[in-house]
Amino acid sequence: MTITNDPGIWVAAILTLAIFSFLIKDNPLYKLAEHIFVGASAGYYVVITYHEVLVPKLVTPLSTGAVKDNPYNLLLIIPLILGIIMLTKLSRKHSWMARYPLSFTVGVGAGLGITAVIKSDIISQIYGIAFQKPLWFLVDGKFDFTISFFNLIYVVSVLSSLLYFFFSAEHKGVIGKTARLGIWFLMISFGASFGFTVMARISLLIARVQFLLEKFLGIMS
Amino acid sequence: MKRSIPIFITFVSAVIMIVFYFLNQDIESVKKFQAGILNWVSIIAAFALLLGIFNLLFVNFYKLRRFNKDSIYSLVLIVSFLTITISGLVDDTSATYSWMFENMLRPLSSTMFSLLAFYVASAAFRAFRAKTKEATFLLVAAFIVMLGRVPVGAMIWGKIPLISNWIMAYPAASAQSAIMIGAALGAVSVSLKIILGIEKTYLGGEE
Amino acid sequence: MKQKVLLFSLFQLRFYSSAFATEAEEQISNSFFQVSRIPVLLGLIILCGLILYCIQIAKKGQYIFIRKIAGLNAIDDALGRATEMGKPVLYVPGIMEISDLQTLASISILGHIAKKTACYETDLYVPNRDPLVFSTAQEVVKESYLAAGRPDAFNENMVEYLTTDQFGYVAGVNGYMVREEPAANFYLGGFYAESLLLAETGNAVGAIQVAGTAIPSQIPFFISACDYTLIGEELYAAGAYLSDDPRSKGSLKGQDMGKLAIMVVTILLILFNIVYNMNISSGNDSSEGLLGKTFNVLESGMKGE
Repeated sequence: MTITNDPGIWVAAILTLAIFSFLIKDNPLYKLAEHIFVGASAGYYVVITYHEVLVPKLVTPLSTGAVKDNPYNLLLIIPLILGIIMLTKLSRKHSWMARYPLSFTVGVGAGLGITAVIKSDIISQIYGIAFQKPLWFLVDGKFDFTISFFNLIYVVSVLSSLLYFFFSAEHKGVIGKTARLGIWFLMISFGASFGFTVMARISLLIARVQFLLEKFLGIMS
Repeated sequence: MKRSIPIFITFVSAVIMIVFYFLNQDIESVKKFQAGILNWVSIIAAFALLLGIFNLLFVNFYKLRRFNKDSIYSLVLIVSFLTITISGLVDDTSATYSWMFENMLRPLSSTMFSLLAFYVASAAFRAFRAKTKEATFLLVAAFIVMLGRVPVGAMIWGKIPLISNWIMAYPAASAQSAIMIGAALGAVSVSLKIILGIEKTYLGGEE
Repeated sequence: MKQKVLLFSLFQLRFYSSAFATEAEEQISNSFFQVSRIPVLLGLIILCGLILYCIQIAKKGQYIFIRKIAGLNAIDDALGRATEMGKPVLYVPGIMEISDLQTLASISILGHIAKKTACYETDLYVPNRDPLVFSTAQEVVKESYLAAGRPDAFNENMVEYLTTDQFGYVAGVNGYMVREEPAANFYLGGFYAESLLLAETGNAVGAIQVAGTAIPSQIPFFISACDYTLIGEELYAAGAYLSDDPRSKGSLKGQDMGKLAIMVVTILLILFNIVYNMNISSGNDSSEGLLGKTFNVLESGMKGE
């Protein structure tokens, strides 16, 4: 075992242990790591935003040469103005003006969102159910009972789970019973996705322990 | 005025995005327009980031000025913020910036993420004590799928990985599909109400 | 809406005319519209039509029944408990941007919760990851306090921006939870890996927790660590459910009609598929003829690009 002399690894190891110490209880070391984390990561995103958004998407295209090549770049003055209006939030009197850029952003989000969910979460799902889970499943042109039965379970599960989400009908009688079946399917699905993730999360922990043992303490390299 | 113009802006920008979705995506100018609008949004968000940072610094300078035992943490936050920001803005390939990213941000991030291993375990432990029928379904499915993904599962009984895959592919996938369809309807409804100005909480005031 | 109807009729015209057009003409007729997105357009028209129709009915004053949603009733209990204990309320609006519909649904719920904390004089804390969500949440909370007649109780520090970094944000919120020990935690909006990190910490400090998200992979974690979880559509419905506006109740009814329409279409397509496959298994070549052609049109249409 040879503990590293690299100050970078020392810092990384101390911060790693500081975060782990939170599992026992809150303590000054965690608090220190937390404040470093919040401060440094906020700064990191400022840097990223500057180098990956402001410079390439606003400053460079608005430079004299770029505007000469492509006059349409001048349109970027609009988001520039909207961005500056956003800053009126800092003034009590004019903060309402920030609603203009905000409403533009929300409008774009709502417009993009509505078509995106219809495509990927409705049409694609119906396609998946109706065309990829046929109730009369064929293997080499012949009816296959097992898979057809599985597909029937699939369809019943979708329809009953969907019934659980009905808001304008009381969950009583047939609707109630079917919705209850839906809840069971939903629970199985939640359990499955829980179980599916466990191993992936444990491997994250193993990676951190490996870092401490190999890079920091110099064991098991 | 303070609310009706923003509602109009929301309506127009949403309708334009919807119309462009249905235009031929092979036309160069259609693609350019959509990418351009997204650039606009990210430029506005970049300015909004300034507001956030201003708030973060303001809150922490305020705490620092109160000068109590916790002030040191605010000082640490401000110093780490300024160090990485200044070094990165001047030159994002600078040694200080890369060192802070590599030895501070990266380990902090991955350790925080890895805490999930413990939390998943404690959540599972609590679920084990659940007594309702619904919770039992959740538990049994979780247990089988978990076993199906580790070699021990197959050692206990060869069919476990098979059953685990079946659960993932049939009941689990189908119920997820139902959640997605339901959520999509909710999203369509919220989006429609925003576009038509029925839902306007996001604008704040009544003026 | 008028624009959409116009667009649709243009679409139909192009679509039908293209069936009789020569290849060259077909290229021109397809040049403006993305024909492969016709199913999305139909979906948009049908769903928006149903929701708008129900909103209109509700507006005219027709009674609309909406069943109780457990997680939503729990919101009041949680707020009441925080007030009794004199402890703060934590509201996490998810980690997604303001343009994400889950965030917008969350912002609408935040408005209702802030009005209540204003009336009860309970401390509220809303940490944010996205700067635009931060600035919106600040406005919404401030206005809710004003609307509740308690502008004096509003404090600028109630809504804060922490950091855009996902786990940096979690570190900050978790730190807040263990130090301030809020009695009621709300996690409503779009969540990813941080869901369980937040909810387990909140559980450890003994807060009543109400969560809600439409991200299917995170729902199980919320279910196992929170007292109530709004699943998928329930998150979107919450704002409407809590609202006094009859139009909101109408929109919920409209969503149900939409679900019904989706179920009917799905069942019809399933039946059609059964007929098609039975025809094949009985030895007929189904790729030809009306049945086969209809199948191909439907299948490729739904599949999209």
